[in-house]
Amino acid sequence: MNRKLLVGIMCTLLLSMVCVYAYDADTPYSVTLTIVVPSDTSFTVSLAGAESQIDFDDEVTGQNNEWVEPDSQDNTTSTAIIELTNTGNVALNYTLNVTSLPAWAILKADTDATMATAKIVNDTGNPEDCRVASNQAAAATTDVYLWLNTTGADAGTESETFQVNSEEY
Amino acid sequence: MKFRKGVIVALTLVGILLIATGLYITNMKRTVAINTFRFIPEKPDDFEAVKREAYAGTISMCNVDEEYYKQPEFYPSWKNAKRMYEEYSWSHWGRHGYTAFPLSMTYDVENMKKGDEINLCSFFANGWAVWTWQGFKLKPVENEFFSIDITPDLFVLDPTYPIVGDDYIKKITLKITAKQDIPLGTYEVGFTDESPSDYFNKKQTELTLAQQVKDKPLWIEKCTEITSDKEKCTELVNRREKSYSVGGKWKTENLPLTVVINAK
Repeated sequence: MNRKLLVGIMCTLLLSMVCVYAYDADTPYSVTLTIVVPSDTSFTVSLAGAESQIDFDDEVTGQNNEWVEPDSQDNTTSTAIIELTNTGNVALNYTLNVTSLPAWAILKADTDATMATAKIVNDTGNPEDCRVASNQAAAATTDVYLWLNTTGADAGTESETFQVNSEEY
Repeated sequence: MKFRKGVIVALTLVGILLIATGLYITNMKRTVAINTFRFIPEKPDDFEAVKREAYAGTISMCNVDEEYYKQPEFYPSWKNAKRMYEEYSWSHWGRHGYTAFPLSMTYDVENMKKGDEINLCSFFANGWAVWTWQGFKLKPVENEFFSIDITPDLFVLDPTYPIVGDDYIKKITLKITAKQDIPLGTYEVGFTDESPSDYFNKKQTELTLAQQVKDKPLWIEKCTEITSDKEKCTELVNRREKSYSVGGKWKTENLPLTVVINAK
């Protein structure tokens, strides 16, 4: 009798211990997938010609004035160095920034081939400083032209990281 | 006399029509066809039904097989991206960008305890009409309540132009684990894309150069058909082939995947 009682108590204790780690009928763990948002902000960045990066080299482009275009850009034929294509299904804004620039350098950008009205791309870390396109519709392509002022440039090679950021309009 | 003139005019018109038709047919025959989608599996008969249920969230993206998710039509972006293939411009070449789907998922959880998990999947693809093999590192966006395991989290995606490669897209699996009992509230986690290490990129550049490219003459021919400049096209294709690019540098403000967890 005592042995049966002991076994009964042990079983009750064991069940109690299991219950501590399990969910009961009143408080089950449940998870429900409610929404899948069928939108995306896909985009493709294309460079002119066969450029794999943006190179400002006035010997290659044949320009000797203070403002130089990157290789393969030609504003006289409306060939921009960058094409941004919104392949997603929501409108996008685009901002540009560069991680750092030499003291002598001024970088400008615009979506048309007119350098005079282009915006300065700076290295302040605030991409809002150079918003090149707003509300670019899905499926649309935006050209981005760049110019660099090389007045007073030191001889040699400088390499910086240029960034294009997009956000949902 | 008038009748004779009429016959001559009619015969001349018929002749012009025949010549024009002949020229049209000849040109049609010369159109270079690149089988851009030859590595995409055959589309299953029930593709639209599976897509509908996946979009509705009634089946998990984890249960969508590759013959479904490798179809470009599975993605909302394809409707707009298709134009890039139909009217391809040889002036520029796609080097960067990605397609991620879905952009966001929302889960309602009740009584989520430490150690409980949510398992889900999303898709991450090379951008449309991108020529390069692109390397990506996916990094979890976690918080004090949830940890995330991403599989795979380091990979290279095949180009999507001129040929959409077999490995142009990855199914990404996320295991989201509660680090503690989850209080009521709304939490956002997900992943972002970063550049792989310099070592990884260097290795992949070497592997990309070792790729076999069989269709190069066809690409040059296609480009020449559009631009009428074979010399330029040869130069473009020679400079564009076998290129690896480092992903994670050109970003959207949105994460490639945001998971919203509503703890009730």
